[in-house]
Amino acid sequence: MWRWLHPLAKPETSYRLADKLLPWFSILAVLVLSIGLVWGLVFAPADYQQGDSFRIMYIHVPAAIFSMSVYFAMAAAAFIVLVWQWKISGWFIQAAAPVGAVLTAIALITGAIWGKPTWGTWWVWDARLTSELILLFLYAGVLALYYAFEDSKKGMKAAAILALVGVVNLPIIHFSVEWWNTLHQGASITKFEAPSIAPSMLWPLLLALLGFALLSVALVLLRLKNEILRQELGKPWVSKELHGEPSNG
Amino acid sequence: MKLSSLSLIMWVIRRDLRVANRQRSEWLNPLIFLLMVITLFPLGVGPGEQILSRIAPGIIWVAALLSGLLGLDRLLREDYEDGSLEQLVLQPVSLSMTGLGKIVAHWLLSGLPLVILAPLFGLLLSVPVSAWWVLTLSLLLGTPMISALGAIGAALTLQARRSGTLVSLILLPLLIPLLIFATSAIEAAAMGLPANGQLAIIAAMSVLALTLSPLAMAAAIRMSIR
Amino acid sequence: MDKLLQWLHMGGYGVYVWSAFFVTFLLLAGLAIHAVWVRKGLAQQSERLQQRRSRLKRRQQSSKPQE
Repeated sequence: MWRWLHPLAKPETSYRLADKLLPWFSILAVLVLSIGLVWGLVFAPADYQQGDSFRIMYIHVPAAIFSMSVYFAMAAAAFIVLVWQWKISGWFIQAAAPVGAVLTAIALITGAIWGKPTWGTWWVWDARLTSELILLFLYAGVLALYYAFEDSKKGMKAAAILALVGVVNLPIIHFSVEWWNTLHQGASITKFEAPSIAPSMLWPLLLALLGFALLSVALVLLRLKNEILRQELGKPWVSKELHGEPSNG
Repeated sequence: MKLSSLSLIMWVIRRDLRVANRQRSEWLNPLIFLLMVITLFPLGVGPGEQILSRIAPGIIWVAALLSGLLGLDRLLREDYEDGSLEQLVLQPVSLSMTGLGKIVAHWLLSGLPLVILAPLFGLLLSVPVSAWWVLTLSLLLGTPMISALGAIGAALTLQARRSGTLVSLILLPLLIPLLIFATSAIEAAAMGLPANGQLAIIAAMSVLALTLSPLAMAAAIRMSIR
Repeated sequence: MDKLLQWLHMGGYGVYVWSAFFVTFLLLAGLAIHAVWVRKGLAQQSERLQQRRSRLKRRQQSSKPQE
């Protein structure tokens, strides 16, 4: 497996691979996402309790789930950087963190918008929303650290260490927030997840989940391509890629 | 010179305490800051006993977190600037153990005074006397976690630009569980309920932080020095 | 037409549902547009770098015969 992975350590090879994969992921993401969301918005029946407002679920739930997954992916990349010094996976941290942060922001905003008709206020200190807010802070920390160094290699490693520390803490934070929530609200009002969801509502949700996954990968690839170019700026293949003429440096 | 881990830790602690003794204001300032924050709250929300005792656990712990973060710069910055940190890295001893010594020294200067002052905080914010014991215990068990995670933050931001605010930015989210369990322990005790569960969780988190953070700290220092 | 309006109305929740979808679209599109924008900046940077390099080279070549 290592022999097969080895050429990927060369930035140009990784760039080509990302370049090749990106259109597939983008096209599939747009396709699956539009089918899922149109299905969810047009054909899925309205919820008997929440009426049509439950349709926000089709973006809120995928965004919330993948905001966490992106963090885990980032932490895995961080582990690889620190153990095998594979710099491309360090650049992956920079590429993935804003995507995760945006997904977190989407989960927060749609949660607030959903909360207004459901709870009557924009913001409730509900366990999931609070966890998402803290996750946003964690992303902010990783990004701030990444850019805080003159030497981008150091920033990458510092962000990697922080991402690993964060991933150890994430379950503890999640657990403590859930516990805090039940402590202060009694039987809480988690209307977000219906105990059993009708198949007519479930299928579009599954499609939306798949679509968000594909879209996240596509966005990370898009940013990863940029980061590889940025780090390799000045090399002949980069000049050729960016404006068609190799520099003779 | 071959040192066992324990004597190495003791050596680092003694050294850091000796340095701190020379610049007392460095570690006294966060404590005075903490006392000031605690004084500000009764002035801000009114001196009513009921509201004060209701929000006291939160105030004390938020203030403890903030003052803990204030003094973090001292943990490594000076050693880094005068080159002695580099010397420590080059020594043929475990850097994690050196880090652990620094964490303990930092706790002795920032956490232990809080534990001693805990009854005073309880008095000022009208925490019921029955909860003082849990308040003290929560500070005793919880403040090592601030020092341990704080050491990671200090090591990570050694060479960063604008490191002052950065440390708080990366550490505060990680300290949220501590805040939640510590305040809830004190609240439970104030209501006459047992707080053993929360205190046990705080102790577990501190132990976890103390075992893992020297490793992360050593990795971060190596990264900064090289 | 009536059916379309009714659908847009979303049983009274139209504002919430559509604003949520709109914000989501805006944020995700923002990420993609930002990436395109960054790439343009990189291209400019790279071009400038190359120009500087070729200028340097020319200067070196023209200064050689004089020596």
